[in-house]
Amino acid sequence: MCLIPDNIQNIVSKIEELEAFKENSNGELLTYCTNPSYPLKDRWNIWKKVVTKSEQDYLKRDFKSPLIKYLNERYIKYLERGSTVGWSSLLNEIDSISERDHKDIQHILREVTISSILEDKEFDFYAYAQEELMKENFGSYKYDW
Amino acid sequence: MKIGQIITNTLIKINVMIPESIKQKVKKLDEAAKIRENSQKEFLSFCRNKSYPLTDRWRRSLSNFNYEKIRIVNKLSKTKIIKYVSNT
Repeated sequence: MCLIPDNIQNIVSKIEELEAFKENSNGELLTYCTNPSYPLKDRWNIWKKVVTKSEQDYLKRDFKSPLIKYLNERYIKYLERGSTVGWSSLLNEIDSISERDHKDIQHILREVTISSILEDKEFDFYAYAQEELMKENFGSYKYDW
Repeated sequence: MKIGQIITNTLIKINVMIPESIKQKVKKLDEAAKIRENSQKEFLSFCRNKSYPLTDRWRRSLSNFNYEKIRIVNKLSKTKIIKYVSNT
């Protein structure tokens, strides 16, 4: 039997080293991404691109964020068991929110809206959902019950 | 949130760039992704080469191949996965 070739061993070592680096950096990156003192656009791009997110198989996922929970419940309504629910699906769900959902949304966002009005004068629904996804560090899960 | 904090945050939002330590980490992680991507073919050749032990090829394929491809066939046997990877 042959041994593993050197070139493969070297690449494996390099990748393992970089994986360890990635794992060790994740906490710091996540702290940066959830710090509202920095511009959302930068934080979101970094979170999307390099942060290791929480990916879970076969769970009925419970979210801390009332908005993300609401978006998730809307999204899974028509899904089959075992379908993957990812962060981008939930973010897209915002587009389907209409006037009819006003009451639910008002309830979910009441406190947030007040503080955001004080801070920015305008409330950006999409931006708020991005912040909440980063706080949950939500990647994906498979829908099950 | 106190008014002072709101003003400070707004000023920071206008002026603050991505911290240098974060930039460096992102750069290194970008490089890592490239290394991983560029080495796929080489790994593939190794994994489908039967002159090497299956255990080694299997272990390497799990740790270094694109995870999505492995996940699709996670119910197949080890040998079938190696075959699957070889065909992609």
